[in-house]
Amino acid sequence: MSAPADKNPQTLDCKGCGAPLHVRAPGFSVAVVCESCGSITDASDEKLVLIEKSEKAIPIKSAIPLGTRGFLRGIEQELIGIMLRTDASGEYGWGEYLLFNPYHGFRWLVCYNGHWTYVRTVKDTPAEAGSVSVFRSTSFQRFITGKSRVKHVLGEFYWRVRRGDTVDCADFIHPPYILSLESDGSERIWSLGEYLSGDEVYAAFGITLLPPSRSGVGACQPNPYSKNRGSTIFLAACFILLAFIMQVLAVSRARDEVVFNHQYSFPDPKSTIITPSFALGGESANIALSTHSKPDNTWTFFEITLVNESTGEDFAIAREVAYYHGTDSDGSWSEGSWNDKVVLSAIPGGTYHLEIDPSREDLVPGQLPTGAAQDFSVTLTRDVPYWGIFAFVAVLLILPPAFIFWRHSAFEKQRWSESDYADDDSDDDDD
Amino acid sequence: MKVFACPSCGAPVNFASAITVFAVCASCKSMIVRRDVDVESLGKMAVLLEDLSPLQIGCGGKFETVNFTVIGRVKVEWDEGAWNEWYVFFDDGRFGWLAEAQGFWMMSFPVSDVPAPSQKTKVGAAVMIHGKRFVVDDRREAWCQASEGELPFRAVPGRRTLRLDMTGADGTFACAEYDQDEGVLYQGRYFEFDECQFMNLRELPGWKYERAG
Repeated sequence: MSAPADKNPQTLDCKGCGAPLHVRAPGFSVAVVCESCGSITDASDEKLVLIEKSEKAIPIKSAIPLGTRGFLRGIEQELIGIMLRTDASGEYGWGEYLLFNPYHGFRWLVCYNGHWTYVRTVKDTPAEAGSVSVFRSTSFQRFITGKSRVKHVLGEFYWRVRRGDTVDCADFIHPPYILSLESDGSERIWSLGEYLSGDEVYAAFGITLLPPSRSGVGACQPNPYSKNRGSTIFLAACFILLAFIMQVLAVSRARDEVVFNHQYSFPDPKSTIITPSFALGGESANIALSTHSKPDNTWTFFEITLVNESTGEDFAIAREVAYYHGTDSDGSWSEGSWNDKVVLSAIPGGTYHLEIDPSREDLVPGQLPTGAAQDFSVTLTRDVPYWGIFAFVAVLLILPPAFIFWRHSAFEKQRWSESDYADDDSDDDDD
Repeated sequence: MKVFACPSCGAPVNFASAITVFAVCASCKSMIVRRDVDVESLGKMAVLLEDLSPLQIGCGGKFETVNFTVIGRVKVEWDEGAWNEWYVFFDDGRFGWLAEAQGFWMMSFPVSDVPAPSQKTKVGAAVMIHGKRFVVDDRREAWCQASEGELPFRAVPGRRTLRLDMTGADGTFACAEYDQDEGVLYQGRYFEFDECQFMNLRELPGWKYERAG
């Protein structure tokens, strides 16, 4: 029952120069640009109205030639139109490629600074509220507004395009998607775009050249650090928790036993105090050596050697206890402390004694000590709870997620440096 | 279904139901108008320009579980271009319009119980249809460029109508068409080509139908 297809192989001639026009999408295309003279003819009516006269065709350099077919995102599409547009100033330009399929309609590829978006006009209207547009339950953040002007055209288009046509544009992003609005006073057209790589575009159209290199961050370019954020934080948290549990267990088992504690007066110069022996329990554990004295705007210094009486091995420690204070134009100040503590790890168990060599600033050979600090004390505690290792491990574990967060944030900063609305109140939700 | 002989060339011309009053003879392109008992020729139809529409008279599909057949087409033109409106006959007796414009596909049905809004309704005004809100976003004069198959009105080249296009939520739309003082309201929605599972599509030179995937 099918009627013969109405074949009218109508030869279309350019209304500007008479050269034959090759129409790739007859019935769909309205404006056809003449390859010879650049004039634009309306092909939707037999009368072939001239849309815009031009004397000379200005070629647009495109790596993808007009008429190339590609298989992109599941649809075979033919490149039928190429348009160069600029912002109001003419300073920023970008390429727009019109793709056609007689069954599935039109789509666009937009290329700016090496960043590509695959765009389709949408018929359901988003809800706008200032800096946010909600479309199909997703919030899009306002990114840029301005004007777009047609600079050059090649091929054919589904509306009566003229060079110089200017529309108001607004872009909203939710990477990898971008929602765009174009309005010219009488019509408002929304489109939805998705970021894709130049490699994917060129592969789809069989172009073996390298796609244009990317500069900066694309408006809707997905953040490469987004995917990792959640998992690295989770992993780091797990390991930190594990380290914390291990640390708590270690701390709970620490004996924290004071094995030596004695107060002394500063002895005669050149004399070393040799303490009585004491035992360090356990096989191998840490010890905390605390020294205390009361210097007043002066220093005291202790050279202490821990001697293992069984093996003869010794551990030499030098500690300073100093305290300074005064007032100046900003008020009173102080520096230092009357106490010092140091932890030594992995000291084997056994019988030990200390050899203490104390000195003070005003201790001059031959003279008795003067000044406030007459006494000092030395305390040795065995197997103290020590959080140092945990702190070190925790910092190490924090580094990878911290790095990823930093890189993620730097990426977003670079993205928004291209926007006029970077300060709009919202969080950079971009999963 | 009634079959008449074309007054110009004698070829059979189908009229699917009492609703279709106008047809274009597939053989000689004469415009045929149906009277009560017989048919009359109004002259030759204008040339239907070559296009890459995948539909043709006689192709069919399924829309929302009901099968349909394409029985007519109007090429509608306006200041800025042209589009196809395919007249479609459903198995359950309904008639609908399948529009093909700028690569988009739409199906709409006449709304019998809601009158068309006033012709003077402005762009931006809201219109309620069965409790749903539609906003007028376009007002244009359009005319018939050419037609083929069977149609429910005299789709004669030059027949002018005023159209009010309205947008609803979630890809729905409405359209009011005025022929002189008579207005008809239509309501429908956009759909993807694959949804209709078309059969017997027109063979397009250089293109093959493949589902988007």
